[in-house]
Amino acid sequence: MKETLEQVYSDHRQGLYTLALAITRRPERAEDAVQDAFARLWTAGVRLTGDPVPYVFAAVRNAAVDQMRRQNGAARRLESVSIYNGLPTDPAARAVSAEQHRLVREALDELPDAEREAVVMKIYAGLTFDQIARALGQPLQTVASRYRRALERMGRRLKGNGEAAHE
Amino acid sequence: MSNEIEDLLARMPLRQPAPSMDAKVLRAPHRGRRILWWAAAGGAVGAAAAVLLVAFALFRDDGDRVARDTNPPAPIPETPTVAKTDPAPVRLEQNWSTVAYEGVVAPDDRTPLRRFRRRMFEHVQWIDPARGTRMEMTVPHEEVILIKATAY
Repeated sequence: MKETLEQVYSDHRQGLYTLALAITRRPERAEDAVQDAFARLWTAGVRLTGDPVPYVFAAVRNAAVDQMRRQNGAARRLESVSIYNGLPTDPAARAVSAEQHRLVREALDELPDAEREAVVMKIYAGLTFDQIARALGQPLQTVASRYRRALERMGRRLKGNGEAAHE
Repeated sequence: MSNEIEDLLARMPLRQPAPSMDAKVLRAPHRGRRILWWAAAGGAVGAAAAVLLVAFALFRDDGDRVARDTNPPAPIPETPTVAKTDPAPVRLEQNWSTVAYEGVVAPDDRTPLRRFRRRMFEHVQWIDPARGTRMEMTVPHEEVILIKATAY
């Protein structure tokens, strides 16, 4: 069990943190959520059968939602932090301009929570739709269409802004 | 279009977790063991307190009157809200008991004995405001105490 969880953490550290940050929108809360989730998994002594990845993502998501519930309204509005860092430093990622960076960040932030979680788990955690469906406890088709809707919504948002910028 | 969006999203630089997160997460098993050890230690302390309470009650009940501790259990306090500056874990322990006198018995038809029945409850809460975790444990005990009755 311990080795399994350590392996999942090692393989999905960034994805787990990004999911928690997408929910809590505060880095320290996101780290606390990841830590809480693993503390619970370790102390619960649950015997994992099959793929442990969806189970761990579900635990982190629940811990992040718990963290959000503990924040009062003022604290939620105070420091909303994006999952994205500043402008990319590696050459491959420099293709993202400052304007694109801002637009993508805003488009992702404006997505409904469920759609944003699906995008983060698919793109940044690298989960399959099946794993996401199990982590969220939703039918696979629901998750897939949620993801597709999110991309369409972001596409419309980016296209609209792009045209507005050219006018 | 979806592929373009996916590519664009994949190129976005992600915020990295602090390196300290690894230490916190991988230290979690030790924290769990500490909680178990703490629970065991708390149970032992509770049991010792219960023994002292029994001894105290028996010394006080010297007559044949019905000895009954009818004090209702103290209300369980709400989870305290701890200031952010003091995130130390909190341990709350409550013990309550009732003692009922059940009359004189003579199990072997020779020695009359006074029989008492004592019911004890240990309630322990561990609250860690920093982590937002809370654990409660209630342990009921019951024992029958026989004391040699004084013959007049």
